[in-house]
Amino acid sequence: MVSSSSSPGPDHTRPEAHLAGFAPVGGSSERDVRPRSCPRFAPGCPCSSLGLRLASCPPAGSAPPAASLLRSPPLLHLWIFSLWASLLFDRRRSCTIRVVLSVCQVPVSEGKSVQQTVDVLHKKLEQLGAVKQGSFCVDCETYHATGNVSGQPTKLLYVMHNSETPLSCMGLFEGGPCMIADANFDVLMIKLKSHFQNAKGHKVECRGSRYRYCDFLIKVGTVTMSSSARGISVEVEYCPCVVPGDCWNLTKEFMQSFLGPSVPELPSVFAAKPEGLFAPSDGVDTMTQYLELFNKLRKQQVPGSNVR
Amino acid sequence: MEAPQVTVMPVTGGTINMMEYLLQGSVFDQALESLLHRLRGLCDNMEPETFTDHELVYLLKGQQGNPFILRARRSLSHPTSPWHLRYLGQPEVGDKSRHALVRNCVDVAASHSLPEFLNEMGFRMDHEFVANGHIFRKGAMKIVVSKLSRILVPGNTENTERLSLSFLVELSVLAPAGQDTMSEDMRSFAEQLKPLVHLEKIDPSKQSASFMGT
Repeated sequence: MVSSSSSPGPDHTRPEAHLAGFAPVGGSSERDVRPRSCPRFAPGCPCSSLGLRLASCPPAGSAPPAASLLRSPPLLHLWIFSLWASLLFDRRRSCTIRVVLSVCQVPVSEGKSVQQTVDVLHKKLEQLGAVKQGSFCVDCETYHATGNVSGQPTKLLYVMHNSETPLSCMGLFEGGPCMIADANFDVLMIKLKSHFQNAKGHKVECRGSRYRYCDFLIKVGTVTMSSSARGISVEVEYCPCVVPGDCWNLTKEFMQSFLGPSVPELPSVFAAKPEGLFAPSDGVDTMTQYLELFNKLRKQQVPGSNVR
Repeated sequence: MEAPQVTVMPVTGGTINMMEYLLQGSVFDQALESLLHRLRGLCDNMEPETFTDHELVYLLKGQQGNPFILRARRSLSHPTSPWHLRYLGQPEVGDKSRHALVRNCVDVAASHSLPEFLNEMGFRMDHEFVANGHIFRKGAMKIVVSKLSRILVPGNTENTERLSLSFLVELSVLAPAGQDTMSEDMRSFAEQLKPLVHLEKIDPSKQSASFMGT
């Protein structure tokens, strides 16, 4: 069996590849290049011209020191352009950061159900100006390894799906390695049923609506297990950024605008990396957060109304 | 940004079972060019592709029965391409007049963390090898002419030793179960390659155990 040949990606070692998709603007001796497809960054921010949001960017409204960036050494330009090109062309890396909250501390009032609480959140988002854009679904199935040596804890394999990436599925071991595969991985797990048993009663699903507000994507979902609602998840995604450390404060401030003061701290999955908050985030981090949320809700005795 | 459609998931039993129809043969090294020349004439009009792949065969030993075998393959010529994980079932013992070997086949594309993930699942690598050669296509049929090399130091794909003085030739088709006309088409194509190479139905379970093993 031969792996299918795929057309090779752009060669990032060729300097001209870094400038693909860019057009020179103006006639200065310094190359002021702007991306052909302008990213949705804050207007007036100097990094907009380079297609990259920098942690050192001044707050919106202050005079942008664009001239100083243009006078920076050429090698710095090349590094920034190559970073932008890799983000643009590397199909494996998503240019998003997804921050999944744990069960939010939205108190379920007397007489209000999970669905009613979700409706309140929807209303707040719509009042903010968010636009509904379809629905989403994240689910998680649990498999027990059958061949474990007695005395050792049973190894649990989680297979998760996300409607944002409908052709993929993810296999995870909690605290262990994870793998992204295509949809045929589910068929393979059926073939492996004598070695890995599907705990059907443990399947957890999170379904809900998807909202778009400027650069944010917000997904408010009801987490269900065996058809009973167990809690509410809120996923907030700041699309232009991949580095959590660069946008956590902004994201937190945005979450406070519709969740109130009950906004949790930075998810542990970001802090656990060797580079900490400044390692680029990807879909694996999102699904790890969902898995932590689902496992927390599985352990809850009373469905739906508990706070963290 | 349009929301992707929420599909009903996951896949359950009752999905389309893909079957691999297979004929195999071999040619000595000195006959390779003649075979490639004929394949260029018979196959689809495109530049034949060369490949260099590294395949690892993993076993999962259960409490009873034969171990579960998975084949993980990656391209050495395109290192950023995803890994290819393949499960091959037992050959179907059906109609003996069927011209090709038929077995269930599941192909999964996977990320580069596949080896660590398989180890965590309990799989252990049994053997690995490097395959390089040419690939041709004719419609749904795929013809692979490959030289297999043993890896001398585990994990080091630079240091290899050729296993034989011949090239393995495989003619295969992936099709849903029940399309037995495929084996007729394959037989007709195989006839056109005679006498350069004789492609036959070879049952792997009847081969001597792991000729490429340690």
